[in-house]
Amino acid sequence: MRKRINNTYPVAVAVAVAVAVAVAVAVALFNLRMHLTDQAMSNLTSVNRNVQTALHRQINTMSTTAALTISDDKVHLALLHGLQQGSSSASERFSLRMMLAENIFLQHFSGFYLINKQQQIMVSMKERDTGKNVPDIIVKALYRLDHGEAFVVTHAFQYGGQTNMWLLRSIMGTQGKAIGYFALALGSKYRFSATTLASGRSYKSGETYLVNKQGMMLSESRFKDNLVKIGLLKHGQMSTLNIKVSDPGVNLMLDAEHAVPVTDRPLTLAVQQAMASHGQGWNADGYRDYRGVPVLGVWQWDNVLQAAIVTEIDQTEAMAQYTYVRNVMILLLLVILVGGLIGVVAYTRLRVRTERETNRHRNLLLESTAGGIYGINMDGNCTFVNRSFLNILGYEKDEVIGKNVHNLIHHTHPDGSAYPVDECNIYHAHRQKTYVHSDDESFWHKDGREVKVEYWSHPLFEGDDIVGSVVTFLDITDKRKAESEREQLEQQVQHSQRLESLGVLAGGIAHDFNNLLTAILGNASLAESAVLTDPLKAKERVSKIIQVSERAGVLCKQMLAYSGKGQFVLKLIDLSSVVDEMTHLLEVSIDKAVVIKYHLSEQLPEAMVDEAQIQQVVMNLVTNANEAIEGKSGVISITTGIMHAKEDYLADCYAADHVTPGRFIYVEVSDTGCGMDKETIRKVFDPFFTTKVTGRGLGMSAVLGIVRGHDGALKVYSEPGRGTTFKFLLPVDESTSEVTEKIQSSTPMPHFSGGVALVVDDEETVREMACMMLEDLGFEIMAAANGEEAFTMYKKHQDSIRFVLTDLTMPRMDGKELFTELKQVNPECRVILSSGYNSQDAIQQFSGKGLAGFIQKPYTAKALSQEVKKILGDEQ
Amino acid sequence: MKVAKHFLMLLSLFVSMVPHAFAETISIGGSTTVQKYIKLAAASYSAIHPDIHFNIQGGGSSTGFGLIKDKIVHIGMMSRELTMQERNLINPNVTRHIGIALDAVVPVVSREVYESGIQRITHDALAQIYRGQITNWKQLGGFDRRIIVVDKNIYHGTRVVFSDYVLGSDNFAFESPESSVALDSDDDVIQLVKHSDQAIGYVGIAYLNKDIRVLSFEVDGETIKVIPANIRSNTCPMSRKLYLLVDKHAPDYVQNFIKYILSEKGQAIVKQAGYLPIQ
Repeated sequence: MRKRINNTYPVAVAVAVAVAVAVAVAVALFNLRMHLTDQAMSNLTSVNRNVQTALHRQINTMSTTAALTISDDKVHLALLHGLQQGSSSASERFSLRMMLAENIFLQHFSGFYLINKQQQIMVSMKERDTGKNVPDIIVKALYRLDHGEAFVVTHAFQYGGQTNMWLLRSIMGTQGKAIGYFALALGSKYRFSATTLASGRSYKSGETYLVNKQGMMLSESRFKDNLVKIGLLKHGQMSTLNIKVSDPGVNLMLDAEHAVPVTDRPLTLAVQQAMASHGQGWNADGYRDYRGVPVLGVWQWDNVLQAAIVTEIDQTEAMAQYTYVRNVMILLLLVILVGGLIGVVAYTRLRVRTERETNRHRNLLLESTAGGIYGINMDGNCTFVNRSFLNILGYEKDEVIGKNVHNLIHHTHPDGSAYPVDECNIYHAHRQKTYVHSDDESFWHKDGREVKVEYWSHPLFEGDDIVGSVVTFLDITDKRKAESEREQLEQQVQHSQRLESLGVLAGGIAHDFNNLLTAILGNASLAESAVLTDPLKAKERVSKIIQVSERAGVLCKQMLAYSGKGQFVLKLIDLSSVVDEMTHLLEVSIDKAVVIKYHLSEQLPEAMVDEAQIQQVVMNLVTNANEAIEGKSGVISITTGIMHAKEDYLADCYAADHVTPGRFIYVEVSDTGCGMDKETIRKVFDPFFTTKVTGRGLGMSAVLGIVRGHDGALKVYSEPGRGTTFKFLLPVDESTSEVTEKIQSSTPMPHFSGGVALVVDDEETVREMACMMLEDLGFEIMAAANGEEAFTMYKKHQDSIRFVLTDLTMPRMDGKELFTELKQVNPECRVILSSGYNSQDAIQQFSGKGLAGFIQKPYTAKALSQEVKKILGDEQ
Repeated sequence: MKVAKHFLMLLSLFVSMVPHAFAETISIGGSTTVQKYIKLAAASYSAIHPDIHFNIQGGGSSTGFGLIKDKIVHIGMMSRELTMQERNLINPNVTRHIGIALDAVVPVVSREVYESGIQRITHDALAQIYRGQITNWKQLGGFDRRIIVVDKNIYHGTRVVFSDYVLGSDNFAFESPESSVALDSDDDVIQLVKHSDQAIGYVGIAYLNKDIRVLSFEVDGETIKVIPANIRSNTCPMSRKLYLLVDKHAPDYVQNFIKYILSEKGQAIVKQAGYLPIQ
């Protein structure tokens, strides 16, 4: 509706303006026409009056001239003589001519006539006129003189082959009676034409002429040349008496062919009316004159002249100004109209184009958006849908437009129960003119499939009136599915994470456990041998066995926890002790070349945690750190402490969404490894993300899950090439307690024979036990905690050292490396390798390299002495 | 485009309607004989150059000389040669005396006189008529009718030319015969001769019409007809040139008018006025 109004509005305005201008112009033109007509009429009237006045004055002047001429005594006498004589002599007539000629001709008359009462010409300028009777027209004039008129001016008449006009007066005798008549022939200057052509003209086409009762023209036409052209006059012919002022029916100037025959032509309007009324008249509407040209005219009947005085002007000239202004106005109107039209058309086109563009953009937006969109009117019927709607719900456009959308796609709840339209949230919001958002409802595909959707419904307003609603929805079926799958996966991940950890640990723990068993076995065998000979020593060995066995038990518990099958119980616990407790496990999980440094706070408040899960976190972080060092030598620092975390600090943490700022216990695991770039950091907590070839990518994901589960937060700093720090924060439980516990142990051994033996083992208990066993066998002992140390000692005491007993896996320099180094120093060097690994594997690694012996952990003193015997042979 | 074209036309129309703010007026004065022509020429010139207006006054040839000498008018009109006295008053290098047309004064008679056998006249007969020595046409071989002699008043150039020819002097008065009528204008002379059946007069060729008759000259027994060739060759007695006097330094628009007069168009108007073109 609004659109249409907008489109027609400029047109309406343009039309209104055009009409207004046209009306204004019409009124102005009407007024102008009236004004010009009035002006023309008043002008014609004044010209007509002026001519009349001039003619009267002219006649009076002539009359006076005539009176003066004949009143001259000498002339009067001569005239009387001429009249009385009856027949005058030629000489007397000559004398009279000579007497009058100068006077008459100087005054531009063209002759005189002396007429007796018998109406005969007695004397004139021409000798041959003598004795002739006067023409009929003069007879009538003489009659008028006889009936009291002082003078008479005739109309033009033909006499002697010439056009004449005479002015006549009576000649009074001595008795005061008329005894004859005197006539002056009017020269061209006295004829009516002289005045009508002079005073009667106005502008280019205005003329005044006289017409007698017969409708014949009595003066010269201004348009003689034209009259000759159109055949009304012959060349050289006067218009006086030759032109009948009649209407030819057409404009002869333009179309002479269709003219009414000359004999049938009626008198022109002006002449008809002048004759009929014998008064004044005028015509401002236009009528044809004797040329057939449309004219405006003013006329009057003049009794003195016995003629109509007609003044006319061509209508075209009178109205020229009007015509010009009218044409200009029309042209201007046309220009305005055309300009306006062009403007309107251009404006409309622009609008249409803009609208089309807008529509195109809107449609593009509407059709390209992934969300389904539809509109409903106040009846709940669909007004439009976009492409996505149709794609998501499988309908064709025709099937939806105009239909009740609820019944079509929204008829059933996700649980399968009916969803009546009255309860529909969208329609409810629609009625309430409000907005609604939902992500737990379903639409239904045309084929009956459920489509889980998140939708938004907005009311559409025009002014304050609601006209419908627009509903936008997203198909979240896949999203929901993915979410539930992820939940499942996360549970699996947590489970398998433990398995993974366990797997990683398995080897180390087995090794470690083996060491413990070695110690137990060794001590047990020592106790056995000494139980009778030296019961005190045996007792000492047994207590050592007990101690080591206890440690083995703790180890078993830890393993149970990592198996995921232990019981997870939240309890108040000191994180430092948790870390401290697992130090051993940590150390066995990492490469030998990596050293862990502990900075454990002793004054730590307790936290409510599941010990096993926290240990898993620490283990994962340490394992990760170890791997980041990539087999090189490096340091892992484990720090515990307490800190106050503010909001901005927490904002930079992972899993900190619901964590409130406050006091936190933290555990920080830093490494000097390869570090991570930002891209890697971002992905580090994704399940299955891994930078390792063999990893399963679950460790860090589990860490985050556990930290989140404890309402904690996790902070990561990392710099590529420098190292990484993971720091997890757990909220402080305000009740605190401290538990610390230390276990110490020492064991003696029986002797064998002389010489120095170098014992190398990073495991102190194993080393100590081996030392005691070898002492018992009679050796002097040198002990080293790692390969490097051992190598240094060996180089120093090379000569005295009879053999070397070394562990295979050690920090700094492991057994294999040490063996290689020693062989280089002394190819004869005897080396016994001890390892928890399969002897087969170990021996395989050293085959052909001159390995003196191998003893599998755990070993007894007896097994050791046998192996020593075997390498020393006769030398013992 | 069409609209634009119409608009331009309209605009030019408006412009053309603006009154000419710089209209020029050419003032002319002197000989009435020349004036007859100049009026026609001016009307014709104004039609082509609406920006040029004319102010034309008569007064006679001598007046024309005076006006140009005193620089009162742009152009002076003369129907005669300059006198010696006049020549001394102007610088001929500055004031040009330009011949523009040829004229001749000829004797005319009433038609009846001509028809009675009087068709040519000798110098002597003409002189005798005007001296009153011949009073009846019978004396010249015509009908028995007294002669009305139509003369002109003495201050007219035509009379100067005529008397100069008839008596060999421009400074004379005819003996006023009883049979003589003195009129002012050539028109009046024509009127009288026309309306009489016994009159003789003399007029410039520009005034001739069908209602009167021109007499041929009889010189040494030969008839000299009043025809252009004879006037131009000066064979015809009383032939004369009509002149304009113009200052060389007159404004361009005046010079242009002079050029127009001497042009083909201007000379055509000379014919129309009744005179003969200068060439």
